[in-house]
Amino acid sequence: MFLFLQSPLTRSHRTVRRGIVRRYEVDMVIVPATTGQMGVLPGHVATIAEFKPGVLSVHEGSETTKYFVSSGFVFIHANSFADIITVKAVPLDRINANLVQKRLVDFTQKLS
Amino acid sequence: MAMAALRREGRRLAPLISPRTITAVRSSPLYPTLEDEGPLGVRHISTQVVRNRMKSVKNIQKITKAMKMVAASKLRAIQTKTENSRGLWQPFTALLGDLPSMSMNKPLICADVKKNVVVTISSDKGLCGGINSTSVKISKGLHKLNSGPEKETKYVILGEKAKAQLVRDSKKDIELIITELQKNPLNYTQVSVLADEILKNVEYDALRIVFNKFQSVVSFVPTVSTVLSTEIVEREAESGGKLVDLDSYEVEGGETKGEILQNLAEFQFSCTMFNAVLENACSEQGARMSAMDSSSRNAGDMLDRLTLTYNRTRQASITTELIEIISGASALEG
Repeated sequence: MFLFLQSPLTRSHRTVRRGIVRRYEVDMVIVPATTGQMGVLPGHVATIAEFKPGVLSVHEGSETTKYFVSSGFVFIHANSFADIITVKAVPLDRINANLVQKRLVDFTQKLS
Repeated sequence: MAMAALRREGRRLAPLISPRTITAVRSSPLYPTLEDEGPLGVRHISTQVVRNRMKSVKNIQKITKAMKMVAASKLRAIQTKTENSRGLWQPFTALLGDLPSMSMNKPLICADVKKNVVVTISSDKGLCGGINSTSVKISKGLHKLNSGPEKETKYVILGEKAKAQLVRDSKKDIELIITELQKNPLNYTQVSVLADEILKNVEYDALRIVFNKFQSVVSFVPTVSTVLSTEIVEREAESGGKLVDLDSYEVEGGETKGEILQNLAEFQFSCTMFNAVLENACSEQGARMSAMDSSSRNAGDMLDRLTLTYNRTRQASITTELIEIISGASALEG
């Protein structure tokens, strides 16, 4: 998902899997970087950060949308554009907690 | 039908004609002639050969039409995926630049890249027009462009068709050959494993991916995407090339900037590969559609010509029979 953050902060979010290209203006994005949760606001310094799998939340005004993202990169450009590129991004409401728990157990068994 | 009626007529006249032993003069099976033997030794020209030909051409036409339909449906399935994947490599190019375009203006940059690896993407199956040959031609061109002292170019081949063509003359330059990519529907995991293999086994300064970009159902443009290794990117950024100055970006996380950039380069490579493989698959289906279409059209033309020949032969044989019967009858009267 490619989040293109344009003034104030437009986000262009692209995933490998779905290839959803969404461009929208948002107020803030919280990104699960490898160094911890990173908040990105308009005017953020230009940065390249890698993420670890986690929850990405997009705040637009009073609404917040949360996505679960697998690893990827975020490029924050100086003109308040942010590009978020991940392999997979799933909106949290599509994730079924029980199924995930079950699968986790299955895969942990397979690994060991 | 006319022939059957005439034959019946012939039989009615037969008792008037002096009886004659009917010797079966069978043409040898090895040399089919156009002569056929009917009842009472009436000879007529055979249309069998032409009829067989027509049958086989018609079958070929059916097959090529079916192949076209299959290619069209596969194309539809893969096209949406491809268009979606185009968004993947755009941010990377925006950030890091694309070497070939730069090398046009600054020939020095091209000279600086010592180890080039050309990844040629082609199809496994044939009957898809000329797309594989164009990819191979470009790969060979890149090889030539980058040849010289201290510089070397290696090939990584994806797909049977490129393998067949490149193995002939560039065998020593081939690092890796990967085939049967499309056995399972294309997905990112598969491509990332592939990218991993390539990155592990091959040393490179620049990776150039050669594929056919899908612009529309009838147009496929051979394209080269470049992914530079991190050392080169840093070098270019410092020397003030057209690349965005990476130093202006703070790099979060990891111990060193270099580590993150390395990850970045690998991710860029796998994204670009994914897009390239999808685009090539689309182009393959599109090219196959148009090849099969022209094939069916040719078969149709051939069938028309054969039908004319068939009719002419048939009419000639009827005429001959008529002549024989009538001359026989008039001989009796006279």
